[in-house]
Order: sequence, then structure tokens, then C-alpha cells
Amino acid sequence: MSDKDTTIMSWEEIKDIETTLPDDEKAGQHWEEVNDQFFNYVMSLLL
Amino acid sequence: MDQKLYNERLERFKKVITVEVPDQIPVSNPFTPEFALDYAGYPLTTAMWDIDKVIESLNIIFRDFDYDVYNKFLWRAPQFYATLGAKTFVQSETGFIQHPEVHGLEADEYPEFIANPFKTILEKVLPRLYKELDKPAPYNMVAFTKGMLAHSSTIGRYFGRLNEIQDAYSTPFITSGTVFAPFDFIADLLRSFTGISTDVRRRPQEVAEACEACLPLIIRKALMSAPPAIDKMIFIPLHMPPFLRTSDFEKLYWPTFKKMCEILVENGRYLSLFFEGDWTRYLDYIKELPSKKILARFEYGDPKLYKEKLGSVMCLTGFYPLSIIRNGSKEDCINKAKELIDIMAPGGGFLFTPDKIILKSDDINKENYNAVIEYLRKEGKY
Repeated sequence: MSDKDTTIMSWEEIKDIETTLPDDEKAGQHWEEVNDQFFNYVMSLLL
Repeated sequence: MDQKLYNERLERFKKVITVEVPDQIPVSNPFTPEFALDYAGYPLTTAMWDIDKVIESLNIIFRDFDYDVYNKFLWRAPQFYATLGAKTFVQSETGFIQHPEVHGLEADEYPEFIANPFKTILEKVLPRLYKELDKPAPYNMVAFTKGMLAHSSTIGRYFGRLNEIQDAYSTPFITSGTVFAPFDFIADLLRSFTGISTDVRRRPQEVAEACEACLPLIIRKALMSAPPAIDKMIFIPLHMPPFLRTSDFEKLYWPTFKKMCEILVENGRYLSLFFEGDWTRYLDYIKELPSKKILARFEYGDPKLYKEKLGSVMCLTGFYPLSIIRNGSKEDCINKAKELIDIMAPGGGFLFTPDKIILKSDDINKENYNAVIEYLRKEGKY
């Protein structure tokens, strides 16, 4: 597998994630609704 | 990739996980990326930052050692933790990434955490554990985004590149993702070893409720990490029980850990559990875990007793003392291997791996290690 096949996020994807950052109350209040990438990253910071 | 060889190894592994008799005892070597770099002759202080050196070094150990399957280990890329100003994982002078005693949740914040764990993690815990996330907006958001990019381009990329090795050496990599038991999740980075040790005595009810509160988050993380496949196990290292009183374990650790295992198995997942320390006093609990879905690795204990209690329930591994491979003669090593397989091999459900993860090249004597594996290849046939 080459490096190109691995999943490095695009800036567009990262910008989408920004909309669910901590300032947005929904991110914390409704954890079931935050997107998978955001959720996965947050949890990985505690493992 | 030699597909036939890969399939043979995978079949051997599947048999032992379902506690059946394989054609021969499968072997897994617990070599970490740190061991691989050290073995390849690279200094950890600099090489730990270089994914190409990590992958090159892992290739070398797969070339030099004989495997059936491999339990993937995390490469804790220093640049990822540095990007966020992590207090949680810090590179030491030796180059190893150390986990200092830090905590992100105060004792009086349990009610807040129990009411909304994810919100508390975002707003309280992470800014305390990661200095860059403690900056005022928008700098905290920029750091968060940079960290996410760094995670993806280091650790994410590493797991992608492990596929190269799996294919090149026709060796199934049998784990896909890591989570902690709820109690360990609370203990490790939220309350710390010192904090949780006090909490179990002073606020046990809150500890129990906090475990319940974070269980759904851990389940979601676990289900996301691994598809329902026997060769994509969820790795769960188990930390705290040897330090707990049995009565505290029963009330505070066991209920949510058992529930977690049951839910994951109900969802088709397989589990690779690493029982750190001595779990002998908990054997009657462990045998209640889901049957024939678990690879259970033990460091200490009487193998005969474990085989008797758990041998029909789960695949057992570990027990073989790494210290013999390091310090013993070749004869000592082989005698110990014979003693262990005489106990563990009958009826199947046994995979060979030493009792400890291997971190440095001088943790083992290579000739001894390979002599043991060679012996198993010869005498471990059914």
C-alpha cells in the first residue's frame, strides 16, 4: 500500500469538523450526534 | 503476499480463538515499534519521530522472527503529542514515550461528568491535559484541528502502512483498535492512579456511576474501531484490578467491564484482552465472559489453574516468562516451553506468546527466542 492510499483528511473535511467544536454546545450535549471522525479523535486523546 | 500461507496462519488462529484444536500451536511475538527501532539500531530519541524508520524497523523484525499472527501495537508519534502540548504522553530522555501521573477531572466534578461525560471531556478534561487546547478561542480550535491533522498523518498513516508488512510477510494482523474498560478509562487520564485510589474509598458510588456514564462512549469508540471479524479484534489492556480490593473490583470494575464485553460480542466483535498483573483471585469472574470470542493474555499465575478454569471458555496465551529468554540458557528456555505446552496445548485454545510486551532489544536473547519458536514449530504440532 502506498502513502496515497492512507486516509489523510482534506482541509474541506477539517473545516466541516470545526463546526462541531466545543464552542458549539451541541457537540457536548448530544454526543450521539457528533460525527464519527470528531468523536473518534476526541476519544483517542484519552487512550 | 503468499495467500496460502496467510490463510493457513489465519485458520490456525481462528481455531484457537474458538477453543478448537489447530494443526499446530500458533505463535505471536509481542514486539513493539520501540523494540523494532532499537533492534534495527536506531536511537529512539530521534527515530520515534520518523514513520519511515518505524516501518523499516518493523519490516526487519518480521524478516528475523517467525510469526503466525501479530497483535498490532500503537506507535505514539511524538509529533502528534507535541502539536497539542500534551501532558499525557511525553518523550523521555531515553526516547520512550512516558505517561506521567496527570489528571483531567477533579474529584468534585464527578456529578458533572456523570450528567454529561462527553461535554465534560471537551470542556474540562482535554484543555487540562493538552496545553494547546487550553488557549482562548480561536487558538484552541486551530490547535484542535492541527492535532487532528497530525493524528491522521502520523498514527492514522502508521496503521495504514502496517498493511504493507502484513502483506509482505503473509502474517494476519489480528487487532483493529484499542479501548479501555470504563474503570480504567476513568482511572488512566481522568483521575490518575492516585486520584482513583482515593475515590474508590471516598466516593465509590460516583465512581460506579461514572463508569456507567462513559460506557456508551467506549462502546461507540470500540464499534467504530473494529469490524465484526475474528481477525479484527478489539484490543483492551486491563490495568487496575490487581491494585483493587476484590470487593471494590466486584462493585466498581467488573459490572461495566462485563457489560462492555457482552455488548461488543453481541455486536459480532472479538476481543483481545491483556490481563496486566496477577488476576488469579478474579478467575471465577473472568470465566463468566462471553465464550469462544476472546484471546486472553496473562502475565502471572499458575497456568494449570488457568487452563482448568478458563480453558474451555477462551483462548489462553502468555505465562511464558520473558526473563528466561533474556537470562536463561537455551536448555532452560526449551524446558520451560515444554512445561508450558504440556499444560496448555491439550484440547487446543492456546496461542504462544511471552508474558510481557517486548520493548527493548536487550529484553531478549535472540538465539534463545528463536530456539523456543523453533521448538514450538517442531513439538507444537497436534
